[in-house]
Amino acid sequence: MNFIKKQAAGSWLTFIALIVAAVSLIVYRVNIGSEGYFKNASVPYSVNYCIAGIVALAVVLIMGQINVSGIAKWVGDICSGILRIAAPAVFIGSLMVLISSRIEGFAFIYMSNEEVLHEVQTAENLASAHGTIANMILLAVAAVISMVAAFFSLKKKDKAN
Amino acid sequence: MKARVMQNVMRGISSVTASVLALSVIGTGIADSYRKNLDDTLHTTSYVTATDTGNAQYVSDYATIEDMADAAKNIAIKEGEEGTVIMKNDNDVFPLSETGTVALFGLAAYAPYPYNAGDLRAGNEDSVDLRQALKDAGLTVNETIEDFYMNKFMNPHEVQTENQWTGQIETSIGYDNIYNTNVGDMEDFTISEIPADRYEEFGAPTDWKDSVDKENTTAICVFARPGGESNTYGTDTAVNFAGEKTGKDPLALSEDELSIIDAAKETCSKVIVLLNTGNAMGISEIAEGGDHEVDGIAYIGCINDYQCTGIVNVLTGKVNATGALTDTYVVDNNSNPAVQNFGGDYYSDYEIVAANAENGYDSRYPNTDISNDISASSFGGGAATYNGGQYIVEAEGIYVGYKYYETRYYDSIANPDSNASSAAGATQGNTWDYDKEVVYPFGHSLSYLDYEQTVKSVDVDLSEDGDTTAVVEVKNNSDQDGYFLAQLYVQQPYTEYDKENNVEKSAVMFLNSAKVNVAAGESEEVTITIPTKYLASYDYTTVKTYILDEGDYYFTAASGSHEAVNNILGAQGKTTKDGMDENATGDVMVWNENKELDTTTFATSNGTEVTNVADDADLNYWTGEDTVTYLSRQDWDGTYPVNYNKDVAVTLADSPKKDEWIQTLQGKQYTIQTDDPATEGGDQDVRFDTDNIQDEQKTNIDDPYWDKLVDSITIDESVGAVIHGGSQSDTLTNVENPIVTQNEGVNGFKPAYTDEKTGKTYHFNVSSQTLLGSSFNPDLAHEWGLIEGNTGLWLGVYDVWGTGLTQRRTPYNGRNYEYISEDPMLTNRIGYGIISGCNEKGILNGPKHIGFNDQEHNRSGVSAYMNEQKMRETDLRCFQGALEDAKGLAVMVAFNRIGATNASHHTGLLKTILRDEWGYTGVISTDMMNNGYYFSPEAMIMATVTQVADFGGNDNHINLGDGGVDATWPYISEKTVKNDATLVNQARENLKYQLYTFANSAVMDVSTEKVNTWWDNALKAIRIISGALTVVCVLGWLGFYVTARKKEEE
Repeated sequence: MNFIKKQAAGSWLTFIALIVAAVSLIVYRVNIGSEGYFKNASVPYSVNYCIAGIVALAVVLIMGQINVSGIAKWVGDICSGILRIAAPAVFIGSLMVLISSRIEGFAFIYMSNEEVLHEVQTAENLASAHGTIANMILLAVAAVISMVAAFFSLKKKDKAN
Repeated sequence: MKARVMQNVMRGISSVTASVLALSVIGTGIADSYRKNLDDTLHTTSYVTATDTGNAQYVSDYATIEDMADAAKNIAIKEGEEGTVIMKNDNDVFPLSETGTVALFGLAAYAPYPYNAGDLRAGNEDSVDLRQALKDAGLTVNETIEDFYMNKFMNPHEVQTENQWTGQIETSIGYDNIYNTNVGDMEDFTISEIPADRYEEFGAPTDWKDSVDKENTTAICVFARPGGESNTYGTDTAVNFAGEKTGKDPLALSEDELSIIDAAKETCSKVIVLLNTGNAMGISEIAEGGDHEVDGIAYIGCINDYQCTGIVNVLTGKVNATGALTDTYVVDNNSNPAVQNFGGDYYSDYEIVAANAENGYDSRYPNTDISNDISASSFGGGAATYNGGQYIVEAEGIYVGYKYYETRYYDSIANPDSNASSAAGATQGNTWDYDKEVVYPFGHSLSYLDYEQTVKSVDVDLSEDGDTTAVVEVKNNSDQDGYFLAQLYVQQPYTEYDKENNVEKSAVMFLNSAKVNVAAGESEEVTITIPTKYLASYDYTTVKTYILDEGDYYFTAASGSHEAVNNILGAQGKTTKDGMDENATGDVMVWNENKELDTTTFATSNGTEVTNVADDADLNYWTGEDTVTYLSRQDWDGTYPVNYNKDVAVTLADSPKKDEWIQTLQGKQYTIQTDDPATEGGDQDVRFDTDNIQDEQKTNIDDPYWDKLVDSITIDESVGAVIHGGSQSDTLTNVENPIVTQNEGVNGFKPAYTDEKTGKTYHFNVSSQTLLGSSFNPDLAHEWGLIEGNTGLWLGVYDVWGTGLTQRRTPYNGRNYEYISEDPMLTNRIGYGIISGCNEKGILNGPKHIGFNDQEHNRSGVSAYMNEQKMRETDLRCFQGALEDAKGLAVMVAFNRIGATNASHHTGLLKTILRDEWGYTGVISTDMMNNGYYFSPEAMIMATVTQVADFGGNDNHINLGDGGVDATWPYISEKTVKNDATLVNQARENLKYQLYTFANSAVMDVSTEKVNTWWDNALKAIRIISGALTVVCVLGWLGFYVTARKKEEE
């Protein structure tokens, strides 16, 4: 079997989760770099968690392609499994920290009194809020996909075995 | 094979449960931080308040909720009765016959402003609007016009909106067409009143005019101007019904509105206009001599649930008219010197304040670019900015409203050398003429019943805490018993010393007022008292303290400032031959027992030397030259304000104090020290409870108990609790004080009371600030304060931002509906009444927003420059009655800067004047902490702020941010503040003020206990279950993995 055909659903889903999480980071960077309410409002812990999740998934994918045996396989499989369990939780952590830091801003933008809405619901602020919401959705999607991925093997079982 | 599948399943479930665990653990922290907001949204209760009813110091005066509601309703009706101002009454248009017919014109006649419940209106089921009140009084309302407005044009209907967070359906009233309720921020403002010639186009019958029995119908036209937080009117931003910009003043009656008046005049025998607003409107067209003159004009303020009943009681003469105008009504607001400097603009080189690679970084924020642009929103967010790029100069000095118009009028007659008649400031010709500029003066008040008010005696106690007491005789010349308003005015001497030292004096000053019932043909004496200190003036240039001039003080009682100044001119021998527009109609009492300039009596206050604290609020301090010329009655022509944004270029770089100016604008009022370790707090074995707090502790903030108590607060909590004041005051470790939540709003407590027995909901925010002001009755304000306090006790909430006392510097402030008047002393006395009433019930009622928050435009950073006489005698005097004289328990600070200094950083204002001179020991809260680069925590602590109004809940700590630093200000951490004993001790001192205030309030009667809500329990259950499942599933996964591996190896 060639490399592609060897990959099982777990690998593909993990890869997709990794990409989605990476995209969420890009959206985050664009969001805090653009005019609007959340400009420059960095959330380092959220980023750190997200990067940790991405690294964990990358490590999982790499380890999944390395053929080892004996005690190395035992250790590798357990580490990979723990990372696959932890990665979605880390993404959830990233999401929750982001939510925590954005609640006040969302409250201002969406829940202010009618007479001040003109001041807070500017095009820039709404675009900024939408960017943050996209960021959150991407993190949530990354978490869900990586959770689903954890239900599947990374590689198809070698028929020779 | 089976084991391999199972290990995948167990791994998958583990990932799900671990994620749920992460979600619940972090979610619990978030929920805890926003507990109050969650409780409000989910209708849960996290803190159970227990009242020690047997020993409670403060108990409600009302035994049942029905009694409480009736009392609140009665006060609201009285506000309508006492606050309605009859401004014009020709052809006996007032009072209306209770059996007569009226035709209602104008959108606000059918939906007076504000028409929906919210911040401004309570929304009780039994509320009464104007149309209903007229019908209840027995009047017949023309049905054709009513049908057109209500059913064809406005079409009121319920609007149901789903709360996006709770999913609850919320119902409000909507209209197909209604007046504009959104002023915006100096933006175009559409006056959406349908002109009369388009009625038929929108469904009125072609013969609608024929439906009116002209001879027997009086037209009532009601026009509204709204307000709102962060709203400011532009000066020429009006847009008409057709959507065309007219370039006119949005506060002036529009052509469309005037067309309605013309149609009303055509179809009805008499026409009345009611002004439904908190902003003084431009109404010269309908006043005496105007092209659209009407028979009657009345001011009805911004109504609430029940005021319309009282308003109609005045319109129909059921009660005598006793309200008076809180503001001067002028032909053209451009004649107002304060309007010359309004809104503001940028310094020519404001960018040099920015922190960046070119200018150098701010040491508190290394390598962070911080601009000095004005943020688009006062609600925070956006790029980092000090928000200090713009300024205004309040060059009019003390001459706000009538103090300008009446003083200039007086000088045009008594002091012709003052150039009072010059063209400067004239809008109606080449010379300044009072009668051409002013339509109705401050205090203007027409009574239905003829009466006289005469000052019979004046007693001035010249001690520091002495009172001035005037006895005013009110003589009822009519044949009916009645209720009457007496207004007391004074003219202080304007001496050579004043002229030489730039001490400005208004030619007439309102002092106080009172109301009295007088039987027909009889007289009653009413005593009016004010603290004598308000007769003194502030000399900011020479002796730099309050002075009381020698000379004649002219006291008079009059129906308005103009009548008062004419009385004074008459007493000084002037008549119409000298240019007066009317001869004196009342007497004057002269007091002249102060024989020499007194620079000492009022130079100390509460043991504190009174001297300048805000030299740097004067722009001239920074420029080093006479950049600003303050308006002076010595030369009205030469000192009339220019616009200090357009006519003068202010360049920071040219200042001899450039670096100091930049540092001030950057909010660096205090530098955290590194070499003075603070003492860590620890349990001192004292608590905030009735065992420890007895009368001696309640009456003496210097009692050792208080120091011992706050010494027990840790460094982390002492600083954290102040700079994260949030929406509630949290329990402090080792102190165990009750939780105190803060509440809006300006018309009374916003939270509602639901009677568990009947299910009926009662709203108690039923007051109207506008009508309370125009009642001119501090006793009524006191009655309302008592009601507000009682409702707090019923609701079980003890802290409310429950009145607005900022001076109405111009008519354009969109928040004037929350404030009382253009006059400091009227605001001072009404504030005194409200706060003293609330204090009697132990409720913390904090007036908003001390310190020149007199425009909403750029409120969160604009610098308001002024001299210290203005600072002390205008906006601060508005608050002095409530905070010093009534011993207020709370106050909210202005958003803007005073000079270049954030008002919340201003130690001169908050520590020296408020705490030391006024002896104020209450709570000081900032306005919304929306921008960490504008609000500096260390500066706010040193200014004795007790709570910075961020939006967190349970966040008494400074170590909740990334890496243990503060979550908002990363340069603040336990590590950085622990070596500054001055800062930490001041934070403890500030908390002492807060706890001392609680001890002297109804908070002392209660204890709060944290209870778990359903969502607390749910989160806890999720944490436990997901944690347990994670462990089990991970072990299961490992077990199946080992089994599968062994089988594979076999």
